[in-house]
Amino acid sequence: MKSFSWHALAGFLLGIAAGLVYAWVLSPIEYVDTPPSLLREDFKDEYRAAIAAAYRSNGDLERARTRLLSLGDEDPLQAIAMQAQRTLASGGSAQLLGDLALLANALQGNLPETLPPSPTRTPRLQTPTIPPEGYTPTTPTQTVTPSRTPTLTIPNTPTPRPTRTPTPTPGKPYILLARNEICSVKLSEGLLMVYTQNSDGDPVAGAEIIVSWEGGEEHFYTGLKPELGDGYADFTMMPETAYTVRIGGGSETVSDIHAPLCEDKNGESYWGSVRLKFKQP
Amino acid sequence: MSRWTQFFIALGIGIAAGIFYGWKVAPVSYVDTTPDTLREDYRVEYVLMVAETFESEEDLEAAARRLAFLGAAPPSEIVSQALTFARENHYSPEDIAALEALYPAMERWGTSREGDISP
Repeated sequence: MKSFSWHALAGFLLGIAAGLVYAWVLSPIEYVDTPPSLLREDFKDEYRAAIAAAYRSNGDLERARTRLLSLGDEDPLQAIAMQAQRTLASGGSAQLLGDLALLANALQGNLPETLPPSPTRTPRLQTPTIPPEGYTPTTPTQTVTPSRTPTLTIPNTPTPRPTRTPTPTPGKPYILLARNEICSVKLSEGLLMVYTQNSDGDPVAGAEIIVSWEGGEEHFYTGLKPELGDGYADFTMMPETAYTVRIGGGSETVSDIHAPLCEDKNGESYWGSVRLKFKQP
Repeated sequence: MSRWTQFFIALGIGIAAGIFYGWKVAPVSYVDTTPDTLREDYRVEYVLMVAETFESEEDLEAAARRLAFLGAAPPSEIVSQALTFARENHYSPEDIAALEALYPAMERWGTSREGDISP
């Protein structure tokens, strides 16, 4: 009996080891038919950029929302904002930033006047119903078993395409409503804060802010920091540098903007901030 | 039963158990996949996004560049495959029309590229 146990045990353990080597090293599961949620982060960014560009083109928010779900982000809005920040940091295209800002704004329920959503197109890809077996979107390292039988949910009734013009049309030129210099130690030093409003006083996301100074120019967009307001954008000014600000698509140009020199309670100097409020008449 | 018989029977069971564990219970964890592994319907959805954008932009270069995301195949071939899939799976006429508009454009782009490359 003792002899039986040792031989069987040794064989079993060797077999397990050989089986695992085969399954994990020699012939691991080959992944095909994966969802976008498993894409590498930079590929996800490209996929997300395509979603934003398509949204700019067709104005179909529901379709964009469904497509974003396929990326498996816990918070799609946050993912867009993060991508916008990465794009800004890497000097990415202004067009992409605009697309991301437009989509982020629409997802927050602030549908742009210039690009109303189409209520008529139906998302075809029913992403939440078709992740591969074992896949959990909120745990990106979860293992998956590939599905080789893709399922596709087709809408029963084809829906007409939106008839609206797909390209945004610029609104009226912005005018400067207020310009304030702010001394507050609670703000980052040298912060240029820009707020945009439409003629109804509602914040406008996706507005392109163009800041220029001697030897440089920077473009950024409102709405990429939704926690601070949809019509908000900011920029860090260098000390003792004069800036000019205008809004893409037409606005009053505000020049000679400097970070003001402020003093805190202890008499120590620091660079204050500037707040600009623009509004469409 | 001889010792060796016991050993090989246990070995066989162990291999089967090991493979089952390695393939089914804890398969190699894949994250960070590349677009060429995307399931067909997601690939087609991506091509459709490019087609929708192309409708308003009409920018051949941008469309071709976006399609390169899906692999090294010629853009017209990628669109052609997407179009076939869309027709077979009864996509809406509007979506098929968008893909149909993109296909000749990508063929044109491919032809112009060949012209650029040839001496």
